Amino acid sequence: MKTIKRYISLGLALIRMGWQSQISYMGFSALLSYVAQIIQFASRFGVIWLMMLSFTNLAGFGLWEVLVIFALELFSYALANAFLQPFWKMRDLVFGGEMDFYLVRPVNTLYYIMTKGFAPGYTAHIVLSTIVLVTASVQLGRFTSPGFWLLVILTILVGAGIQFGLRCIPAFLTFWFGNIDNLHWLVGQFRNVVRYPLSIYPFFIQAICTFLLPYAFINYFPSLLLFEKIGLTEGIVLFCCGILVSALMVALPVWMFSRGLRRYESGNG
Amino acid sequence: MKLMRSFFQTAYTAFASGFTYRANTALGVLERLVRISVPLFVWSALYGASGETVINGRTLGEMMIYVLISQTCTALVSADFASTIENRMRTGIIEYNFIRPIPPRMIFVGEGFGQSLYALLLTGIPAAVLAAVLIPQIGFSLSPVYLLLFITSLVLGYVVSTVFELLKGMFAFWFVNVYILNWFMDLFYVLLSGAFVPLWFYPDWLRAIAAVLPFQAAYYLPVEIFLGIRDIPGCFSALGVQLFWIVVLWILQEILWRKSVYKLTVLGG
Repeated sequence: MKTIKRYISLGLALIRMGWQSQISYMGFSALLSYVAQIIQFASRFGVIWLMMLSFTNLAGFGLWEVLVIFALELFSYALANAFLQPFWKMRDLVFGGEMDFYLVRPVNTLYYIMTKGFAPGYTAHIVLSTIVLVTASVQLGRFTSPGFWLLVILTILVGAGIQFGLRCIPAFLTFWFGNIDNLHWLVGQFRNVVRYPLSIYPFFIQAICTFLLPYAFINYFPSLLLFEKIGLTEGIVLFCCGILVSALMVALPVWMFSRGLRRYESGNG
Repeated sequence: MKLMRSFFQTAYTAFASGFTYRANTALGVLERLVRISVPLFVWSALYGASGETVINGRTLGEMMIYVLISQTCTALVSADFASTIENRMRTGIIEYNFIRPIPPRMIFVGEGFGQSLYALLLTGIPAAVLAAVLIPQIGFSLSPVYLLLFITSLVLGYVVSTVFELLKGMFAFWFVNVYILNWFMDLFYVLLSGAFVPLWFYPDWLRAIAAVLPFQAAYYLPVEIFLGIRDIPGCFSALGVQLFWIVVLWILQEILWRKSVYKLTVLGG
């Protein structure tokens, strides 16, 4: 119990330091970068709006429902990736010897990398997706529905676990396979796939997004329940499957990291 | 002559460096395949759900061609060497670009050209495969005159985007944080270039804004010419618009460059 408390307070301290160092180092630029990121992703929502301007629905989903599907993905992505920034440079960590810096600390290495590398910029994505979710809930007449919001919050938490795995697993494969940057991009590209209802794609893409890269559990399956496109029982079963997948997608990278570290040889001799 | 040889050597080096990791290149092709496929499925589903064969005067077949060509053109004209300049400013490596016997801007453009060709190859392979499957079904043909006009427009579009990148890169000399500018610019690139959603689907007011900005000159006009939407005089007026933007942007970047080089401060060494 004492260890858990120590870890939590250390994690919070590192996150606070991350905020403070960015604000003090970048100052106004930090604020500007948040605004810029909101604008950047708002343009992605804008593309969906433009696409659907001349059409009434996309595979039975209206404009606001499609926007919710995208917002759920973006929110969970930001929540997970705010702590996973260092893994974008996995090659430097593993082959540049930068992992040494983290290994000499008397705490769990993975936890330390995640909290030390906290990226406050992702709050911009969270703010934007929250705005979209609230606006969509008003447009869909679900703003005052506690069930809607409970499901949205649970979906985001489950989705964040899956996003954690989808970001970390390709990154941690670097321990075994060297530079596979494009694998990150390839996996990440499926985020674009699940911005839209999965039913528009052929079966093999739906299968990939369900069984291989389980993006479907982040937003599409919960959206079926959220917008009552399937029965309640069916929806709850799918949601429970999502929880299991999420747990697996958190556990697997943690195990991979501990195995991968055994292969690590400091790059700086 | 010697300068041109150096330019092409720089471009070749940047192009060849993309192939350093072959598995990475193969994954890159797959990544582009997913990127191109997503809008194809989305437009198919939108047309399918509407029950109409012609929307805003365009058929689904034309939309398919639009996606394939715009994605390929975008790959060619999307070299991000403003970020390279920023990175070199930040690390001080930029000084090496100034002491070499080639003008610095020629180095930036040469590297960008090599990266563009690499990106074009990655995108071109899956686009060609998809075109081979789709075009016989759609029954699209292109006259030699339009092909020539398209190639000319594509080259001019490339020059527009290159000069614009140089202009953006100049800001690195003043503010260093070009990535923030890039995020802001994303709004224009995504929403006003016509690269993601063709301008014929835009509301009039947004199309009017897009018409007075340079982004459509780089991304959209070549595609419009390829699709045969413009008659021959219309094609020449499109080429005129592209030339106009090349001149305007070149003058702006030239003015800024002359001021920027005096701002350069390299620390260390």
